[in-house]
Amino acid sequence: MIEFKHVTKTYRSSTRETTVTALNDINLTIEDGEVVFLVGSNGAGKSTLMRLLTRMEVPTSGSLIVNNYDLRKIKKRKIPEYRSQIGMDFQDFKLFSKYTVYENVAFAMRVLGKSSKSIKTTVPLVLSMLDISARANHFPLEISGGEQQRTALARALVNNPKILIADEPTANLSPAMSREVMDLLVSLGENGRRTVLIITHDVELISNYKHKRIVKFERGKIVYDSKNDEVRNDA
Amino acid sequence: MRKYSLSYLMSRSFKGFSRNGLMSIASILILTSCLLVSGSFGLIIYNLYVNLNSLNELNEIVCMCNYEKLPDEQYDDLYNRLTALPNVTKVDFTSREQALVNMREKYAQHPQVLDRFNEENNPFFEIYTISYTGSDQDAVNLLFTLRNKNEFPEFRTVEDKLETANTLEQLKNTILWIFGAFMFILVFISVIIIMNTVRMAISSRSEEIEIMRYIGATGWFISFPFMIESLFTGLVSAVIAFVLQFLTYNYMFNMLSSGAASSGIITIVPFSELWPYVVIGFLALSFLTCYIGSKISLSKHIKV
Repeated sequence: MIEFKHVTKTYRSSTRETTVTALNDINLTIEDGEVVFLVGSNGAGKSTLMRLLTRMEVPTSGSLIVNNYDLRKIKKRKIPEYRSQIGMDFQDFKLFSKYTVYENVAFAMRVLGKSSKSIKTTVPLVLSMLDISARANHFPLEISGGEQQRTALARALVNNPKILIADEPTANLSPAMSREVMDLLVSLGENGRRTVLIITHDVELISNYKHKRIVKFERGKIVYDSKNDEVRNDA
Repeated sequence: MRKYSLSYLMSRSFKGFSRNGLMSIASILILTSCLLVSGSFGLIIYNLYVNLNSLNELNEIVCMCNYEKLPDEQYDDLYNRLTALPNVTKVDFTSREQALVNMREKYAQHPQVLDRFNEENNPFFEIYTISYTGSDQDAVNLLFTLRNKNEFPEFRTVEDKLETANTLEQLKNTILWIFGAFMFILVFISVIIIMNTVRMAISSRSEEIEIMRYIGATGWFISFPFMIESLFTGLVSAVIAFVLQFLTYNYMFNMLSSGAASSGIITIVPFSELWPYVVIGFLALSFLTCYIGSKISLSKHIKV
């Protein structure tokens, strides 16, 4: 479970004279196995939320508890262990251009100290699940944007995370490809297998997923949170 | 508990080393220069030290006899009186014949200097060389006794090296201080260079590090390749510096051996006697600077 209680995050400006509030008194609970769209325009606070969830940043005030880890009080040595339970899918994919698709995915397992045997068994399975086995030996620049996104997703999923966070996963894709990727992301959270958080500003695209929850951010505040179709139409 | 494959970690380190290309070469060159300067300075100081020590035995008093040859019955008596003195550890007698032989050996390169002397016109006097222990005051007391004509009328001159010893001791200490300060500065510069190299390596791989952090890499996993890269830089620098040191030292050795050193005025220690210390020194210095430099840089620039 993810639980934000009165979470505020402020940043000091470079001159340290003023502060910017990125998130302001956020209260949000996401149950295990939920698929949630986090929407909002640029500067609404979505990325800050993602950085707080991955413990790249610490809340200025309030409490943030994820899978029983209190992210304000977590010990430094426990942070890698916590992060290994989260899969991150980045807007720009962040694939290593000198690694093949296979090596990019295997890298995520190597980082966690998984054995070569386990890597050899798991990586082909995940590539097959995401339908990119045929591209295993290609380099990122040799494959399409959709395939790059699938590779990035494979890397995020290969360690079987409890939470998957996709940051603007369709930002660099064509509309057709966007739909395909979004379907894939939503399916990854089907039957409560894992919590999936999809950060996006593409409201039109998510209108296709009427039964999923949407949380809308504006200027660091949640202005809308509902699974209700009628309310979503208002958004 | 995560178990990382050492071969994988090492291969990442060496890939990083080769990927850094020019930056790695630049840091090797700079570190090699620092080692070479330190090594050369250290070897010069060592040779200077050896020469200062070999100028003479400083805890010795040389007593020259009044006569070209003492009456036979006085030798034992004089020897016994000298050994009985407080703080005296050894008494060596050198006959005038032996003194001439010694000098001929010392200046073998210039035989013409002593060729004209023989038993008839031997210019040397008989000498008692007295070694002693104790403080400066003990040495002064001993000198006072030996110079007392009533006690030792046999001696025409009594020469001590007390003042020279003190001067040399001060000189040696000064040299050591200068060497220490110089080494400190060089180590400091090397550490700064390694810090910057590691910092640049980190910034060139910042995206890779960021992804590793997101995936859940430990600080150790992220830092290890940088540390190994840095130590490898140190190792390569030490090897290159050693080879260059060997070549330059031998060149200087050969050049000086045909000059001042050949006359016996100065002593140059051959590299064959010094190389183990040079190897240990270079490895210790390069590893130490690389370890400290990368540790500081990693703790400053890599966050978990």
